[in-house]
Amino acid sequence: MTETLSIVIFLGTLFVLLGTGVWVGAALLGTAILGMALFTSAPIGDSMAVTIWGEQSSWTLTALPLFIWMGEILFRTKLSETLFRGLAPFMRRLPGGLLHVNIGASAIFAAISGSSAATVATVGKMSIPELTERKYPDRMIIGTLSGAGTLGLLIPPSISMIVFGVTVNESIAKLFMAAMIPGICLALLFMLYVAGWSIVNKGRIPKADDLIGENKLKRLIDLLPVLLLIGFVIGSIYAGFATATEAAALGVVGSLLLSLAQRSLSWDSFIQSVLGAVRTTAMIMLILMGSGFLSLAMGFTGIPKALAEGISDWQLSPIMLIVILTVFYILLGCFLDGLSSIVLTMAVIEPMVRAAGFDILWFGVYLMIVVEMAQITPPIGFNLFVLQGMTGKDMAFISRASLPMFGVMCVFIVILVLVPELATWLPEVLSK
Amino acid sequence: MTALRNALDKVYIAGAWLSGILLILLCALVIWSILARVLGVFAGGATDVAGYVMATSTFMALSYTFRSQGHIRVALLIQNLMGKTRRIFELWCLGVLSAISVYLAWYMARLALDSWEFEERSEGADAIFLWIPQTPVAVGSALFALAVVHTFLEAVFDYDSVDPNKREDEGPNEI
Repeated sequence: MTETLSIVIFLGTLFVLLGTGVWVGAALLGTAILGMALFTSAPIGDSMAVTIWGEQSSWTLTALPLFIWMGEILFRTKLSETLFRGLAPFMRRLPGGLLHVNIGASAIFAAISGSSAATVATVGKMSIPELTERKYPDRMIIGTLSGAGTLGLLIPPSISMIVFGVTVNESIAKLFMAAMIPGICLALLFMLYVAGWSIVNKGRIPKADDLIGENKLKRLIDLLPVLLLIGFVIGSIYAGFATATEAAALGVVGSLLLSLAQRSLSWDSFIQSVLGAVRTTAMIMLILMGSGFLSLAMGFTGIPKALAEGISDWQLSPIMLIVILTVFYILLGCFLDGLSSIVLTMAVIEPMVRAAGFDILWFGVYLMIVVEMAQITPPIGFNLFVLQGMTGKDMAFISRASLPMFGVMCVFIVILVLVPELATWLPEVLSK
Repeated sequence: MTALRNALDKVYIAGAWLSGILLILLCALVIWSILARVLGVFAGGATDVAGYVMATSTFMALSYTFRSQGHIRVALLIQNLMGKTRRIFELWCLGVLSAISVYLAWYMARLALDSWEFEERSEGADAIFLWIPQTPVAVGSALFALAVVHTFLEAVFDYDSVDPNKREDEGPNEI
């Protein structure tokens, strides 16, 4: 009975601290301190310091600040223009026309940036004014952007994938391998939807005849530095030449060279990129400190073990479990940002998922998609906020515009469950 | 009060600059370890040192990030509160954070002190004394605690200067 009471106090504290607006990292630390006091006689402060020190100074985690910095540098380049101009002549003839540029540019930018907000902002900077001027329907411009922006967290490199890998102790390189094919498939599925929509709604997609005379070869050459950078970063990981951290450092150098070549690198933008990077890093690290110590405390409470055993006792089918988890994460996304929902739940859910026999690489890919689905649904959805800032439309309109993409992602989850090899095949082949 | 505030804000920003320099150093270290491998030179404990540099960089930026509203919180409930109610919630949040950040700073300092006392060395190839990287981390967490307590006191005595309803910071850089 006292055990149950302790658990109620423990979880209650977590909800109260988070709900009343205490900063997420501190809320997790506070709950963990209380949990240690309730469930162990171990020295609390000292175990906290050792846990935090061990995690915060680990080699695996060094990939995180470097990939964040790389994104900050690229965000300040003329990449949005290059991507739009480079892709538009090729997408012109597809049903759906230049809407595909949103998806294609997002997929390409996602392969050099680990952030979905940055993906939306970078691609949208150029394509929102261009497509609006060409009289594309607003709803489709916004929908494709917010949907395809989610590729930022799926297609490697991905910040939340690194956070997930560190939290569950899985190789980040392998996670990056697992996410590539699903990322490309999801992009293709988005494009399929756009093509289908424009065939049904004939006449609502304007023609882009002014692009007919474009020299495709020249556009392709403009895109070359970006494609090289992708090959450099992702390729070096896949070829086994570099670890995730090393690829990130190479990526930083590559993006500095790229922005130098574009003449968009000034002393000022360099300083801004560094300060932006340490700010984002500190924000993520505070949450990681909290979640790292909370996982330790959570282990002592016995909640993860009980849940994992419960799952095997209830004889839940894996499909049922995935349905429950999907609904759970989308609901959680109504209160928490994506990163916090990943780190907060993994301490409890990881043992359960392993007990249910899921491949953890596959689960990582799945988790990125559901967390992103939560990010394009109101009331809290960061991609929606970014688009609101960029278009000035109200939240209700943007959410409605994103809804079909949410549907596409649901369909993709079903595909991923039916064909798990989409995620597991590449890591197996490349690790040989 | 204002003079003290401005002086402290400069300290937090200096922390962010130091953090930025360490980020650049981290990148250079990783590049060096790659080069060393390609050239066949022994890079020693470059990977361990990279971890220490990252930890210091992170802790040095915590206070600046906090002062520029860069840390994430759940805004669902508090964003709709105005005036006095909001103030009570802010005081509660800042109070909790003050307690936790001071607790954190205290134990990070103790960690460094223990490592110094027992002459603990890193288990990696570098085998350096652990108190060397742990001391700047403790300093960074102390700076964070200072920034939080500073903000808490401002909220108690001069709420207008920290009223989130009136501030125009850029907010957290979500990913």
